[in-house]
Amino acid sequence: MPDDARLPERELTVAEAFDRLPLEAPDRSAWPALAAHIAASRRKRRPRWPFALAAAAVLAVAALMPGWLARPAPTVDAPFVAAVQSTDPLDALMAESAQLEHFISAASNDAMASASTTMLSLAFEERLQRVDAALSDPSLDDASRQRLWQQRVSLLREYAGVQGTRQWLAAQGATLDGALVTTY
Amino acid sequence: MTHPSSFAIDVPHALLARARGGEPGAFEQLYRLFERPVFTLALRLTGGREEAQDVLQDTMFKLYDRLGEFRAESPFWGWLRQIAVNEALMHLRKRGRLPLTEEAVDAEQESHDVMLPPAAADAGLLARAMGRLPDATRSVLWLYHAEGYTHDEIAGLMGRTPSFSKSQLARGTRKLRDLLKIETETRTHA
Repeated sequence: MPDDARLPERELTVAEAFDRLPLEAPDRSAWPALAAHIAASRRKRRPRWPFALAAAAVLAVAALMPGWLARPAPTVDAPFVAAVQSTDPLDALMAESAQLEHFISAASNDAMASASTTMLSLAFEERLQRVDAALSDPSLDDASRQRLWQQRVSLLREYAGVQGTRQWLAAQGATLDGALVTTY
Repeated sequence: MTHPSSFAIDVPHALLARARGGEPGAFEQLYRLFERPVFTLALRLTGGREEAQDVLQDTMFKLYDRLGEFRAESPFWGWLRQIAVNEALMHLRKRGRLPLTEEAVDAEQESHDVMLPPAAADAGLLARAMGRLPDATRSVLWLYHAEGYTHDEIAGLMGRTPSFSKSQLARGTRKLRDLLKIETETRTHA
């Protein structure tokens, strides 16, 4: 007799057995990334991320780098906002979130990542997942939703800064590890 | 097929119309309705949660980008399921996890014996045994038995012949049965 009294004694067809498997839920909601994608797509004008602006952002972050970890997340008037034109604040945040994710994805190069930057990436992803989990709650009111999107964008800006700085330092023949050690 | 696919959810026309009109709230409702069916299908085909997460996101991005192409001649869920299956198989193909060549079909393998031991009712045991099947075999089993695709349809999806689908199904069922017997014996002796 099987250990579990709920198990049937008889054989099952494959279809029956599959049908008994529960529906699985993802570990994190894909909705925030999708919402950002929607917001970015909805913008009629999709200005390309200008190279000069990107370079300026990277240089600005590099100049502030020694203190970046100790600082709170940048405020809304960071450079990426300039590229996002929307009258709805939530739409603007979602669109900026999509742009930042795109930038981070383009700037990341796992093959070049050192152990310390990999740890930073994992920590960042963990924080982002926590925000995404909160954003996936369908009963969120508008104010909380906007606050969480603001938090998401701030996190992404912070991480975009790290990735940009890493690339800039690599171009100078240096690594981010030294700066991280100095900071700590 | 005794039970319909978990995708078989009727979506109100009004909701679809709002989503196609670009209303994010309507699209969010669609996402929430189908999040778990898409993730579950992706998990069964790819065998990994992280991979299923990627497939879920890619499927939903594609759904948003292509919603305007949906024609209401067939159920919406079937259309979305097709996108999800294609994304999951594409994921496996890109990683070289679907066989490039057809294996010879053994007529004997086209067995119709599809019974599994009682241990198959234990979701944990069954999921573990499924995880030990090759990706192509597991995919064929799931598409045929859980989603109700025919061998011709599976062949089309996987770029193979119906004979390939039949042999994978027979071989997979036999392997699954053996794996479940081993699991049961291990449990009994533990």
